[in-house]
Amino acid sequence: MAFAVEGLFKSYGAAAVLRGVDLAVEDGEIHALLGANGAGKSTLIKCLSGAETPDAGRIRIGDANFPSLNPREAREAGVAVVYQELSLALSLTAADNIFLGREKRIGPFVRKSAQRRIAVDMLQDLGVQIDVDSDLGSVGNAELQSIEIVKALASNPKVLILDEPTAALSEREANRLADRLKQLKKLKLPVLYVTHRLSEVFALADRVTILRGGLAVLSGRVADLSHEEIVAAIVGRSVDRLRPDERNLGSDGNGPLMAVRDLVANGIGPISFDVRPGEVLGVFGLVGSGRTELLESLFGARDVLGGTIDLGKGAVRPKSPSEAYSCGLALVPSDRLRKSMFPSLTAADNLLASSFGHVAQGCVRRRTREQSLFGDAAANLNLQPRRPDLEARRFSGGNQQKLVLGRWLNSAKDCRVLLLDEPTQGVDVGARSEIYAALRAAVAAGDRAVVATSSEPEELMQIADRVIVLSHGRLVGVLDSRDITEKRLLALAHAVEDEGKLLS
Amino acid sequence: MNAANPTVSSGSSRFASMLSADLIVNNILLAALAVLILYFSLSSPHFLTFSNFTVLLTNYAAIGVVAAIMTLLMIAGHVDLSVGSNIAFSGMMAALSITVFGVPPVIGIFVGVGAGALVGAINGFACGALRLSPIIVTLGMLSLLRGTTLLINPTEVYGLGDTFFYIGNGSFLGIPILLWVVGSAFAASALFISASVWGRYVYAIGVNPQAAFLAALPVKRLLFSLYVATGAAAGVADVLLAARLDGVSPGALGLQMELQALTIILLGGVAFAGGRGRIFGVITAWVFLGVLENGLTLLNVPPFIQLVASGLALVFAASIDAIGTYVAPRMARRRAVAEQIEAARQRAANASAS
Repeated sequence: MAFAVEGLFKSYGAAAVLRGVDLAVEDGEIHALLGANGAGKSTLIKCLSGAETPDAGRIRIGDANFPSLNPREAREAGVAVVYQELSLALSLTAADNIFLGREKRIGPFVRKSAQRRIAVDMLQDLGVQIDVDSDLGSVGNAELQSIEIVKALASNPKVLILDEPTAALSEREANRLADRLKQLKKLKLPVLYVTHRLSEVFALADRVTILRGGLAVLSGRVADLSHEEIVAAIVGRSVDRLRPDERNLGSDGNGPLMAVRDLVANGIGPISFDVRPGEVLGVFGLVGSGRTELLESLFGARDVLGGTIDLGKGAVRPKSPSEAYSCGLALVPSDRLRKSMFPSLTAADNLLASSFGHVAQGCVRRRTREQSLFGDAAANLNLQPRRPDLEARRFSGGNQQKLVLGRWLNSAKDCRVLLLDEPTQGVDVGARSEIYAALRAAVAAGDRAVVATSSEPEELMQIADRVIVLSHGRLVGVLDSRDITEKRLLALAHAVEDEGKLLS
Repeated sequence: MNAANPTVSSGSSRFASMLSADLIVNNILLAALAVLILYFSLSSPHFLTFSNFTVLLTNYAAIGVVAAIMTLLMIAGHVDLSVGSNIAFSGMMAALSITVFGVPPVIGIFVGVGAGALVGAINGFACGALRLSPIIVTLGMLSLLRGTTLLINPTEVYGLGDTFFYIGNGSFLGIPILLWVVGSAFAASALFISASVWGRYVYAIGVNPQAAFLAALPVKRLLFSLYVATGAAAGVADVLLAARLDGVSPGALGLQMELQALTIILLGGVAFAGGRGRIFGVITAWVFLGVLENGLTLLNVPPFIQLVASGLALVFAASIDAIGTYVAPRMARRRAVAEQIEAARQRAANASAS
């Protein structure tokens, strides 16, 4: 047996992430590793690649045993990891990339032709057909991911780990990559394949291990398992809906607060759905399903190619965020650092960024009104610490998110539909519930609505009144209050790939 | 910042020393300026006189106007390298409109400022709306405008009339007109940044343009306006220079002023990447460079050494930025630790009291 993990433990402070994981991968086997978010997949891979040190347990590679690895030891032991984010230099050729940092050379001179010959052979083995002499700028995603794999193989690894190689690929690209991965079996190499897509498990893998709560809860031959067994193992015991109030929404005869019709943008659509007044509408989908694209298109931050949005004042198609904002829309983006924070500006500047104009006299600022607005919003959201002069980067993730939320949830200007993209990403548990409470309070009056995306089914089960499910940029299902279960969400999100096998 | 929090600022001597360290980093240039003035006034009896300071500042008035307005553009993370040639171009437009077309001088001033603003609008459209690289666009504009000016009229234009002479040499309430103009420019800039809502947007755009866009701020419109304002400031600067020299030389007017303006702004503590900077710092840097040049002239230092000195000042500016990015996080960490210790001491004191 070529590669195994035995009784691996890892905890961060009090939180145990891995609680004795056992895993064995044989030579020439593709072993799929499945699990929901937070099941411990990434931590396991970090332990194998040397990025984290396990607290206890053993890692066996070939004949050698390791209690822990650092990145250099992992490389020398023959662990090669291909991550979902590409790490290629797109302005270089495939051969240059494959041998980057390990060039074949004589003295200071690179043996270009030898590199090229080996690269061509290896790419052909995987069935990749690209021009090895041109740069990678025009090469498709599936091919780039294949080159990443070849690059990993060029280091003669003893075990190959693929971390969601298809997450960023379209369905067709993923299928192309899957065909190539089958060629890997010829290499008699243990391959650990982390994925979210069930269809790939059945198409590719020989065996599968499912992680849940830091334990391997199911391990076996793929041929012996059914879709239902695997989904059940991923989900575990059914999570109860934590929403206590089952409000009766949208049945009072009023029209929708926002009607989206045939929205088309790059990568998504056409999508049509309604947002009812006073509801929290969840948007669920796997990575790459178009959640972020949908919200940013609604907010005018992306080019919308077709369709309309009706907020009760006629159909519009916002061309910029400021236009969307004046229509009554607001967006809390998912990537705080890149898309919503001004880290070196003060908390007040961050919270009031979009409201300065509304509390000013003409364009002259009125500081007392700004102060009281900040005070109110900070109190409503329980901002900690409540200091307007503190730089935003010194706040915790949860409180930074409150600053962004407060930008739209204050009394200066009412937004009618608040769009939130992964509102609790990088937010600690305590702040999480405060953000949930703030969202519920925002819609309580019944004149506003919240549209929130999440990649965590539990989160939507807690906050959403209804959920729309996206897959590959299309709307594949709408779940009403009572039907929002983890199983149904996952089933719908996987549905396109599984051709409806999971739909009960 | 910390003085605002009463629980933290309550008497720790270590804390006070850190506060003063903060103060020094923020005002290091002001301290350097004080030392410079002290040195020059001890070395030359003519230095610290009202008339000398008037001369010193009026010589620097035109560049001060450009620096005052371009500071806003640079805090927003952009830059206009074409101002030097823009001064020559718009100056030539103003001079030709008076000498060739015979318009009244007041209209001539408007032509100059308008031509500058028009160039700013072109820069603003390219860099603000089309999002081209400001350095490339305005660097191209720098040589394009100088060439255009020389093509339109390759020789110097003289004789702009009494109005221009009055602007260049006259006084109002005992203060030269030039100083009134540059003073208003700095005042307008300072008011804009601190008292108008646009000032907040300028910082936000400088720190994170993507986040500013998604916060529904008018990013493109504001950047365009700032480029137009910078162009118009170049137009004002050319009127001041033409008035002082009573003429416009297409090859020499405004030459290298873009670099001078940049030196002043960076020396004044504005980050080249944007998002950080104060008008007061830029004013300090403006006076600093003026004092440096004037003082060295009074001491009969050869002009080449003056070049070396202003070059050193620019490197000095870069170092302040580097030192700031190196020191600031360390100071922040020390401050955080001090707050922790202070909080723990307070808790201990509360516990023993109860």
